[in-house]
Amino acid sequence: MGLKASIQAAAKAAVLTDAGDLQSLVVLSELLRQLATDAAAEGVPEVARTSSDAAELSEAIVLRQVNDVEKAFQKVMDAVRACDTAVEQASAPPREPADPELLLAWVTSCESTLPEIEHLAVTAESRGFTGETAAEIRRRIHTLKGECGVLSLSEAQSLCHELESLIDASTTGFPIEAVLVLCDWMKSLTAALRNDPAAAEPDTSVVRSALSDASNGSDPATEAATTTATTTANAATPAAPQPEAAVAPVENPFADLDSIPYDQRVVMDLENVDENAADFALEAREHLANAETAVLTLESGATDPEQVNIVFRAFHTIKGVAGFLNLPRIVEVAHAAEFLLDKVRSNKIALSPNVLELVLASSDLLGQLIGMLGGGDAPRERDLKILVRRLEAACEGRFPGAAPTEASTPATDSRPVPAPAGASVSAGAKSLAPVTAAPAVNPSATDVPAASVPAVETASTPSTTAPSTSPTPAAAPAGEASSTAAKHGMSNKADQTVKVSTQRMDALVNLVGELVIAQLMVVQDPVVGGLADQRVQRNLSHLGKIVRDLQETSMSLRMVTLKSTFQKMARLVRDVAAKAGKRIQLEVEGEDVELDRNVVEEIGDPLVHMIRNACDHGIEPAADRVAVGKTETGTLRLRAFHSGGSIVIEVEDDGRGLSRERIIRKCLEKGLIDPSRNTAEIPDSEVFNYIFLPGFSTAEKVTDISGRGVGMDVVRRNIEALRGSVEIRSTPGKGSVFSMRLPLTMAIIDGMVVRVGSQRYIVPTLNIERSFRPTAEQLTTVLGKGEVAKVRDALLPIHRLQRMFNLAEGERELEKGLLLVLENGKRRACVFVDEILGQQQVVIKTLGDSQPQIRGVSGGAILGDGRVALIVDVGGLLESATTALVAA
Amino acid sequence: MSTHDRNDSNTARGTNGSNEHKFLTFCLGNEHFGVEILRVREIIGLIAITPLPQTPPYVKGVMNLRGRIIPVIDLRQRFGLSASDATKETCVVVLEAANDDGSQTVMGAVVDSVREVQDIPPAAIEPPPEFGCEIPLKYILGMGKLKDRVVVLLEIAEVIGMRERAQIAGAIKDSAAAGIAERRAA
Repeated sequence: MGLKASIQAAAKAAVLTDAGDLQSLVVLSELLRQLATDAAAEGVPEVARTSSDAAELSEAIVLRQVNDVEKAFQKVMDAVRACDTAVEQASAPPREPADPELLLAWVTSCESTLPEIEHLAVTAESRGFTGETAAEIRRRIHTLKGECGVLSLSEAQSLCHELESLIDASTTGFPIEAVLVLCDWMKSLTAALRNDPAAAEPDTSVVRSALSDASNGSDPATEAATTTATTTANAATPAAPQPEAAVAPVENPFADLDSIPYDQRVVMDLENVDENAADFALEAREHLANAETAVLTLESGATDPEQVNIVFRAFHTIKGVAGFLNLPRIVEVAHAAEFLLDKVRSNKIALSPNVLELVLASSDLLGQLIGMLGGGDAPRERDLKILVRRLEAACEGRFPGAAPTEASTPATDSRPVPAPAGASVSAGAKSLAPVTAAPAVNPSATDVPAASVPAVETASTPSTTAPSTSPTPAAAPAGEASSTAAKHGMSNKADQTVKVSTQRMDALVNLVGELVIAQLMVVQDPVVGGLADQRVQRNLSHLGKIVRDLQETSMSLRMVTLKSTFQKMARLVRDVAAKAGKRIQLEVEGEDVELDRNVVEEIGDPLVHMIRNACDHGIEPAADRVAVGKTETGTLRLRAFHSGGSIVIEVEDDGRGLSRERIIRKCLEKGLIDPSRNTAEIPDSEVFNYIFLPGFSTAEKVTDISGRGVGMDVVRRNIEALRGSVEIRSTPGKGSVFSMRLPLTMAIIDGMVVRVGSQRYIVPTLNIERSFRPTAEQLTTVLGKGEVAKVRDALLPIHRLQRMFNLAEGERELEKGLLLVLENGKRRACVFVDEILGQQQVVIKTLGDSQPQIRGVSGGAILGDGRVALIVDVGGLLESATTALVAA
Repeated sequence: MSTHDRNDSNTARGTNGSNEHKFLTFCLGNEHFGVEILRVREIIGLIAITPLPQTPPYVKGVMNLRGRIIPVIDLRQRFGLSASDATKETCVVVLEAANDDGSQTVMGAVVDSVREVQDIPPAAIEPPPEFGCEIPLKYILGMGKLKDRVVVLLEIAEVIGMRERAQIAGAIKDSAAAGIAERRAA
């Protein structure tokens, strides 16, 4: 294996590895060893050294010789990256760095677009290709190509280009493999760029070979297509006029346009605009704003060529994206302006005030056109045509002067339009996605010019007229469309979103948490509580309400959808299925469900393990499936939904199901089940729970993918760390469901404050079923093994909190205290406490960073008096209590 | 509760401008101890401490340090000295120590009383005696000789470093290590 290939392999493995997944760490360390050998052979000693150190370290992680796994793992990752860059630098000439800000923005956007492309490819593969998706993928690749070009990422650009030609050329099948390989490569590229904007582009050999494989497999016409691909690319701007061709006479440049009625508005086909249009509108406005700032700088006498570049880039980007979104009118204007700016840039035309005026006019008109996407008024057709003519003329150095008075007005009367129009018109149709809003807007643009124009002319600012013209046509569809609009919840608000750094957001959420504590401290202060004044109490309760609202609002800031997580899973299923030689179809449901950002980040790992498990062990090979009368293709369902106060995520497969017998046999072997127990009576839930134990595997063969019995343990640990629970349902031969129940948010919980002796504890309200003061007849002792209480026909074990937390104090007589009936998943039990002090929301805090995990305690909270109360982890508590009971 | 910030102690610095050889001295019973001033974050009066279950006896519990929960250890217990009741001089020294990985552990230590900030140059520090010491040697940085007495200088990282972390993940790693052994054998 060559140096390049081995580093590629190591980097790839590194990306797929996580600190908790020990098998993949082993694989990684082997790859790193290989890399060290290769590097030594090729005379790159530093790479050899770094990689062998990294290999050592990753083995140390596996053999648990390191204290902080995360940290060590990070070191390994850094080493891999360092090797990667070192090799690149040794082989590739340094790249001229692009504008770092632009680059970062691109990298960020890639982090969402790449998974989307993958997702498109993977879903298309499983559902069969339509021309639509193929075209969509091609469009996206094309966008990528353009962006890479702007950022002078030459390798990336050429790869995208080749892939594009490949897609064009392949008439027989879609080159999915190549698309995915390219996505992987782009991911490693963006990851490298994020760390170092000047990073060299990674080795392309893998992608190139994938591309050539794919092209060999496809039509021999590829060659021809490759040469014509550039032309195809240009065809993406179909409506772009040929500037040279359309030269108007100097004397009366716009005479022929007089035939266009003055009131005729620009018509845009908004029917087929895709959902990205809203994002485009948002971005385009930013670009235009940047361009305008730059123009104003230039106007004030600056001669900085970079400013011209900024303006040029703005129009160029708008043109490109509008082209993909099939908005020919926008392309038309942007192209003309871009063409002019290009001449300025190459010093063919001097940067005169005339040019700047034209640029501003174009920017205004574009703003208006873009505003149409959000339901804004259309500009006049004649204005557009005249502007384009003037731009074209300017390219030849002619400035036919201001056109007829009204016609040249875009520069003056439409400037305030873009933003306010978008905002005010959508007041009526605000909840509409651009897609659904389109029919509502069209009539106002085409059929009712007569109605809307007088309004525009009489009103002083267009923004005030907008509400008066559009509500009528917009109102009716708005009602019908609202249900669909809800589904597009994210995209329709795009024009009102703001990018905020997560740090600031977390700081805000933390502050609000402190505010909640401070507010409670005031309210619970005995002095305040003793005030009989009604007004004070009323104001305090008002304050409480505001604080709660504020808290809810700030928490909602952190909510994100599961979409990207689920999209990653689609890719995983495909890869695992291919590796295991099975055919698996993934069905996804509820990807719009929102969860706290932190939770979403944490469930990735458990999901990966659950899905790997389901694909590898759950779903049978095609032959076995057919033999038992199932379809050849297995189905994996990934579902997310709300249930009670939590979110449930389920992974369901229609495979062979868990084998009760085999688990029980294994348990008996390991001595986990008392051999004297009647195995038939052990409930399913208990049996299935054993598979979460570390090292427990019933797999007969250990494969690459799973089978070592590590995964499920990781699943449970991660989910419990999130204060969630996991549950298994399974029917032999029919399949199994792994169900994760997760809290909506991690930072704040509703808790019941209970007292034991002088100590107070917080029990999450969600886990409390009920509480009662037991009577003597409800209490029994079973064979000296423990106390039980009869709760509505069920006998539940009683655990004394005081005993579990080794407290010397507290009530000892059950009849004088309270029993809380706690439930966690299927487990129920009574917990004995002295009394309940009240209910309140608390901010969960860790008990110091280096504190080892305490069974039964999930964290601490600061109560109103400033003292710390421990938060009871009901799951852990019940579990440890049960094991203690069994052991006793 | 009285609060002295680290900065306050810094302003009370002696002739030597550097904080490097400065130690905060405190008492446990009749013995004097010292910790590097750079490790001391602040000193606060004794406030309510919430006990933690399943922790070694020297861990007194956790307390609220202005909205942050930090663990508190009892140095008397840690060093195997007899317990004593809290007096009005009893206070919590908030210490921070760097972990092996560079992160910081913040922890409170209950001491009988805080004395002063002392300059103890390296020349005045001697290695701990081989025997005859009540405190395990690994906790001791050295013996600082002052004019009138000897101060036991503590190795904070060892004292609060919680090296004896719980055996979380022990089981999982065992199984994984077995897996590797298997794999290598194969």
